[in-house]
Amino acid sequence: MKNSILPTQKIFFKSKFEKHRIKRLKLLLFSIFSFLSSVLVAQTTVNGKVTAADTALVGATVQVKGSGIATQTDAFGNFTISAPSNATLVITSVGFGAQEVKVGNRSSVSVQLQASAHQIDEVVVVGYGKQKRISLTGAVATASGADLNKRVVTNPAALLQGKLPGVSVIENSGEPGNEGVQLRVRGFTSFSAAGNDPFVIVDGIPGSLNAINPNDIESISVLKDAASASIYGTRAANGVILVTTKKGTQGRFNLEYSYNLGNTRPTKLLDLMTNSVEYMELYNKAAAHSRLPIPYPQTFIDQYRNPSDPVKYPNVDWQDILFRNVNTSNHYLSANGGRNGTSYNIGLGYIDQPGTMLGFDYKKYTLQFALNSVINRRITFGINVNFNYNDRMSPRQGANDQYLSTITQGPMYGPVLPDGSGRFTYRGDPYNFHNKNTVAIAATARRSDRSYFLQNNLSLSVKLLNNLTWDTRGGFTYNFSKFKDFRPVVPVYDWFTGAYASNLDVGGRGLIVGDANNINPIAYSQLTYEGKLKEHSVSVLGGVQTEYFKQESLTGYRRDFINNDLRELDAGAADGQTANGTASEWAMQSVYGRLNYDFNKKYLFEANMRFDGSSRFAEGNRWGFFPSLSAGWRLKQENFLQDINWLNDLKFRGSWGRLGNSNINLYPYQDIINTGANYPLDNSGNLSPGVVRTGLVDRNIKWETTEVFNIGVDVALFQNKLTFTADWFRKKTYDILRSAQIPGWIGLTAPVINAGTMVNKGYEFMAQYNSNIGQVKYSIGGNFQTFKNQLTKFGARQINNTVINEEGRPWGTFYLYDWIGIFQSQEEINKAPKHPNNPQPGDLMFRDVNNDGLINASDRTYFDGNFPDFNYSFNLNLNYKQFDFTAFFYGVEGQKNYVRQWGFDPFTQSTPPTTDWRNAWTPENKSTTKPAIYVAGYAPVSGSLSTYYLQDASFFRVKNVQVGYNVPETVARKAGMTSLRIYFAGDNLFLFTKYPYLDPERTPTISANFASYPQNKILSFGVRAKF
Amino acid sequence: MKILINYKLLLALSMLSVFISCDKDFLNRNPLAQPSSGTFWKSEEDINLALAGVYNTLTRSSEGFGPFTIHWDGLSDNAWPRSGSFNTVVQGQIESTTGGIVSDVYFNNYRSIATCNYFLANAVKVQMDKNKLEQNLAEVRFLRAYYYFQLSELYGGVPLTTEPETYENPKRAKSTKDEVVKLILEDLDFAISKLADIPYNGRVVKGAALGLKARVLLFNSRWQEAASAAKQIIDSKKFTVSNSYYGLFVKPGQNSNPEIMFSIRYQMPNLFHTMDYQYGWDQWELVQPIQNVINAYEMADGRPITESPLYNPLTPYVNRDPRMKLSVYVPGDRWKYSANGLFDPAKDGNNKTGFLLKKYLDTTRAPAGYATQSDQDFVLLRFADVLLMYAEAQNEVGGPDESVYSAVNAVRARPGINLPPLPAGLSKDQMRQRIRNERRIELAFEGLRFLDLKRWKIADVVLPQIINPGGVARKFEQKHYLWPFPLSEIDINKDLQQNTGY
Repeated sequence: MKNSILPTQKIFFKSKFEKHRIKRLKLLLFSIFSFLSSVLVAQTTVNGKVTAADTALVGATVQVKGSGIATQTDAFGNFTISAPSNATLVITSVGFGAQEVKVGNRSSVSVQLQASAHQIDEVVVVGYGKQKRISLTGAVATASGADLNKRVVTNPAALLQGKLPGVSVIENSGEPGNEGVQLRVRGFTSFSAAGNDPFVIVDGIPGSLNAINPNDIESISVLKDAASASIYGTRAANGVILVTTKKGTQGRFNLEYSYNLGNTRPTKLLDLMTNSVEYMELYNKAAAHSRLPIPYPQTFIDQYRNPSDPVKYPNVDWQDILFRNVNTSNHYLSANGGRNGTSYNIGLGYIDQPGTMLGFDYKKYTLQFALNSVINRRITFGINVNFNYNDRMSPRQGANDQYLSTITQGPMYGPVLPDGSGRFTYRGDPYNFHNKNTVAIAATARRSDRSYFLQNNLSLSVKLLNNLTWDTRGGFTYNFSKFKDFRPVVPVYDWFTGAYASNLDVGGRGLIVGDANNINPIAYSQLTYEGKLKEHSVSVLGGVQTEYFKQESLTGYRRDFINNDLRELDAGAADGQTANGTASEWAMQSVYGRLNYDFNKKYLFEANMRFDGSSRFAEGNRWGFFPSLSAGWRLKQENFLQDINWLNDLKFRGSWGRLGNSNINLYPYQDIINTGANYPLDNSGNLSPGVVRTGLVDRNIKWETTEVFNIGVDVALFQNKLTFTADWFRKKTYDILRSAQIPGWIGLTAPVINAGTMVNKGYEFMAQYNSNIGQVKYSIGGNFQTFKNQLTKFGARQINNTVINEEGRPWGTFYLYDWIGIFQSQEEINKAPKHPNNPQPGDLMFRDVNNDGLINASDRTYFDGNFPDFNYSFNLNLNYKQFDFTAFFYGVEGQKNYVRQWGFDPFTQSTPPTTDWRNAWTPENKSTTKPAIYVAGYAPVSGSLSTYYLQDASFFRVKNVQVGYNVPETVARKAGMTSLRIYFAGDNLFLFTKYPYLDPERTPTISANFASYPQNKILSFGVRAKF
Repeated sequence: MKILINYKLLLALSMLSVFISCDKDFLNRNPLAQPSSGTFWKSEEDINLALAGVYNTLTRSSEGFGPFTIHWDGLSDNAWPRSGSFNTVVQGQIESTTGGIVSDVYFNNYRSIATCNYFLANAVKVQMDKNKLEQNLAEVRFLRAYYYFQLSELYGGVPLTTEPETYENPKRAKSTKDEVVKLILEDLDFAISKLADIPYNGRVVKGAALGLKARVLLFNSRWQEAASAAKQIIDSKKFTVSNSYYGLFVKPGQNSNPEIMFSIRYQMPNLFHTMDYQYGWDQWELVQPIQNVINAYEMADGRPITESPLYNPLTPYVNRDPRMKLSVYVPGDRWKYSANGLFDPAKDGNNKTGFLLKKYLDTTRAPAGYATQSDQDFVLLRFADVLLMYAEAQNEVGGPDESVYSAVNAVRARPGINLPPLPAGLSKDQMRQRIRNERRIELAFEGLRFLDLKRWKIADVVLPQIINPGGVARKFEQKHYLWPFPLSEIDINKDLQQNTGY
């Protein structure tokens, strides 16, 4: 029996990783117990109340100076904290100056914070720690949960829009649960597959913004420059977003409930022609102009003119059928409290958001739990758990297909037969093709996507010495998602005869189910030393981190089912079934550190560094080093500025550092052979399995690196009424992990190599002014950001349809024919340079850029607009007694979108034209802006990719307005509440833009269909009650 | 206390080091679902896997249309392509920036060639039976020849690659078309010498290699050699004219069909395509036959419609060459897709030419929709083609001798078609015209007509006479005999000289 090992043991020891994890765990437990037994020091309990301008301050942080012990004030501003008898309490709150209070032998203290409302004394969450804003030397933007939650939006990422200078937020659509929010920190850093998404950390470990309930957010910090972000090394090149969720507060039990009901509608829709006669006559006209056969016979059109049977010969607005007003409800319940050093916070959220588009439904359930326990004056222990469940239903082809297919429908028929049978229409137009019946799709073929997300972590903070702390945090993120896509057999019928015509186009038949999961365990451990000698303060942080990620997926398919109701695999026939599954993983190890030094809080220095090792690279290139250096000079602390009373703070900051990016595919250096290239090599009736090698690799790849310079200034003036922050940056990304430029004759996909350089330069401003006129308190502020992108090293130019990538120009510069007008006459065409596709009067005229008398591909030229010139936002807050008012404005200038086809080109798949085509060019109405109406695909218009399709997507919008009333405390108390707030809000209220018809706010596109899921306009009512 | 603290500090530090130190393999992560090239090419089993991978390149999609040879007829005077880049091409818009099929042919053939080259370079490393290995090498070289042939027909001279390539040097000048043809013939001669002379069984056989060789020689006007290659096949008697014309293009007729010499094969339920709805359903109708090809079908008496007394313009679809109704739906045909069971192009929104494809469509699958899976094999080479190739080549060499008549008449006499033999006493020129028309009709919608028009140098005369739906004439200029190399290729491969006119 000596050599036999039990199977379970075998599995246990198979993975080295597993083995070492156990080892580490043992060690961790051992160390924890050794501390628990060694540090027990007498504590006293201190009660207190924090006020500002004579009102209780809720949620202020009370901390025992130099320890991890902290709590927050409750709804009455009260707090309870355990502190050593000689302790000093530090009280901070966003928007107020920090206060220090010596406890002495008091058991109760009262603290009055100065309502300075500027953020200089604020404590800011930074990488692996916290810092006072005054000692920051990097570029860090912050927003409080309270400020973000002025808007009621289900996706927290969307809330960041306009709130943080340097962060650009684009919400692609209003599709519930699938908004496609794009976050960018300071421009477009890289053109590699590593992408431009910032790294999101939730409570210290990698997480996801989408997974959180906005109500659970305490604060958000964005690390924009290398000085602040390099401690995150290879994950930080696109900026780091640090989210801190709410923690419990010492003191009484608080219960809070908030409810919001939002009436939601699309912001903008196409204005389509929905009169059947007009549609058909115009189509005939467009077909004639486009040299196509005339589709609609006069007899058919005449049936719709003064119809005998208006049900059978209607004027249907399909877009109107597809969209609806819906009510979104948002419930949030939180409970928190704490005593004897242990505090907790629980947040429960439920969001029910139907889509404005038929067939979309989304429900989100969230749970957030935080427990913090000060075990003694040396040890603090914490748990954070975020859990959510998402349940999304959507028409199976997705939102865009649904919208496009809907608008292709002609007005001559409706989605269900005119005979009242409720059967779905196949087609009511014998002469032209229209896409699938989307109302039938929404009713019968919806896809379900459900996902469960769990993020949790444990933290342990031990004060080894008074100035030496050991922090350890370990946790994991687990994500499980399941989709189910059943494609039923739905008969559809001829509009006129009611005869069976076909089956509904559901993109196939049968059931595809799939699930995917990923797990991402991570742990770090670090030591922090803080020391002070006279005017010299030093703090040193050093830590190590290890992280692993694995994802797995499995999908199964069966084709033929007994009926449409049994939607599980077993109800289908096994013949032709398929199963697919795969798994992949990566791992990282890191060492990081930070050194802060300041002289008399006047001269500030900081250095950060990180070593990262990643499984994505071959041994030898695995480890990368990412340092940063920064310095700050608080000029105001100099003697010569001490007497200038109107200047409250002045600080210059400068930083330099390197960040990395490796977020490309998981095995980029490994020469892989692909399976699945099967072929029937014999006549057995089975496929012979086959493999192919499709790509090349470069084994020597390493990190992509971004080098950032940052210069900034922070100013506070007039008793901190006016604060101002400005930053300038230069970001240079090199060794970009891009696909090599290889010619087609090599016949393989290009390897990922390190090559190419891109530079982003830009600046950001933020200003805020707070004051009051009598009893009206007000604040106004705004921010502004801009950047210029330039491709400085690229290789051969690359033209991808509408854009060109070429050294010296911004990435994705539009490269198009220059549309300069409309041919008014045949003579004009004859005189003009020779155009392709034989244009007629009424067609597009292009500029002969190279003046060779011929319009061809060499006449394409450069247009900017892939990146905006600048983004800006304003906010206005008014406060009068119990009333408050906030307004938030957001704008983008200089963004252009290349949009085409559905909704733009008339009659794309027979889509009715927009009403502005009534003013199109005709021999009688010689328009100079709108060409003669055509059928999409008409070569003189769409044959040349031109600026005709390039639309100015600049906009300015009233993003949010809120009016609130706080019921007086005395009244609230009678109802058993400590406070009650009622508010009305409007989201996406007004829009100013030159963009035609639709909402310009969508992910910028270099070529896409015009019609896409619109943004939401929400009118909401809400209450927030505290008990 | 101090000692305790030091102890704790030490512990903490050791704790930190534990995270990092011990696990060297922690950062070694290999793909979990794919083999790596380093461990491949060890056994005969690997050869079989790689060989299936090479054959699988035949199923590659161009512009999303699969290897649908039918589409190429949309560029000829047989049909009109309703959409996509084929439609762009028939409007005469062919530039180095056109993209779609104009660049797909270039990129896709090289992708397939790279797969062949990777096989050829590595298979020889594997220890296995020499004959079996050579047979496999021969199959792969046949496929490489097929891909280079497509390149040479569309672009003329192209860069040659016969080894697995790396990415460091992107430059390579194009070889002349003669050099490309030389490589193709070397590959085919190797294949001919190593492959068994047996009927087609799904793999490349000697007859297929000879047939492709005949086609390559014919397309390069090497008449004598083409005739002799074709004759070798005829004499081998391994293939015959099948007795069902329609059955050549749908299953089960395609299975073990004695006429098919090479095809791209599909196998339900896991390897299928979607052509029934792409061509047949009234949503797509991607390639629509045009009046011009209808007019080219003879009458049942074997005479052209312009000469036959049987032709009545009021009933134009009666008494025609039976292949017409086996290849094209004409108005009034029974048609499963419509409510009244008859084909009426005027009531079909997407039909612009008045005709619909029938060849290759499996009528048992109508009405086809998205869910319809199709498994027709695409026939790349069949015996009727070899007969016509022989006739054409032999007529060029020695005029319309008995063997020429007999080859063409064998095609016309197919059971179920039964067209009368060609009239005796045709001149060489007359015979050439009859062979060309026979080729057009027999092989309609099989992807050869466009290349035929080009090699006969009549595309610039024939195609501009074709009027597209809507009334605009097609464009085919001299320069269009060769397509341009994609601009993106020229941008990277500076040694590649663009074809004339672009």
